Amino acid sequence: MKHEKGEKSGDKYNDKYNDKYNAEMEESLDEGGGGRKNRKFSSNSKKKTCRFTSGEEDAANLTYKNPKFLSTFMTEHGKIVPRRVTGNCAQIQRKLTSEIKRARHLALLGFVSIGPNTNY
Amino acid sequence: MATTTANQIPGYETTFITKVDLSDDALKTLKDRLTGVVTSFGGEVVYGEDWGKRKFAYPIHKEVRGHYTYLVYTGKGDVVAEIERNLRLNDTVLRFMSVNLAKEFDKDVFMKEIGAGTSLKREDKAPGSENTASA
Repeated sequence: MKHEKGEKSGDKYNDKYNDKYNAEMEESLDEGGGGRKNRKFSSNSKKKTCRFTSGEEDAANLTYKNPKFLSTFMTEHGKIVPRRVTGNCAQIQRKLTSEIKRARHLALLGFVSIGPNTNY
Repeated sequence: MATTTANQIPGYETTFITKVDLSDDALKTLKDRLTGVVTSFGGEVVYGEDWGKRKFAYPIHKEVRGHYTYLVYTGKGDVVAEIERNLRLNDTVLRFMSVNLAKEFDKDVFMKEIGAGTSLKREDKAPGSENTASA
């Protein structure tokens, strides 16, 4: 099975039919945190600013006691949304993650679903 | 600042979940026991809140609802370990979690944050859950 250049194959690391394609993917990894996924979904939209550090939202709301607020940063299936999508800064994302995990431990949020304390 | 002392002791918060069928008296007994533990370690219970009965996001010990209680306290030494030991011994406590608040806990600052509603924002209860009297 010959893969053409640019065509997405199964698993690039096991794709022994297209070493050149793999080599290019390796190169693109150096160019700003890439890899296949970012190439496919890469958006050249304007830079997002963290809504907490810019003052739009209160960082004091980031606590496990506010599951409704925390659930806005989770998907329907209970996954934590990555920071490249929400635009959070690293510090806030770390805090958000630890608070979500605390809320999950107290069954205020779910592990595989978002839980009952939300707007969904 | 007349109320701040030179050596302030650390502050912690603990949230624990008890079974819904636990009577009010039994819950009060548990809280009194925890208060006794805190005072024995030279601290005080700064704030207590009753979040009432809530629905869980996933079943815990096959239960779907639970009664949440929130405590903020100060204490020296292994106060947290002793509180958790007491919670672990109790069969009606389903889960608990303790969080470090501050190494030098300032009660006034904390109460002000609560008053301003920024630190501890109580949300609307999940639909269908009853709300017992808050502590």
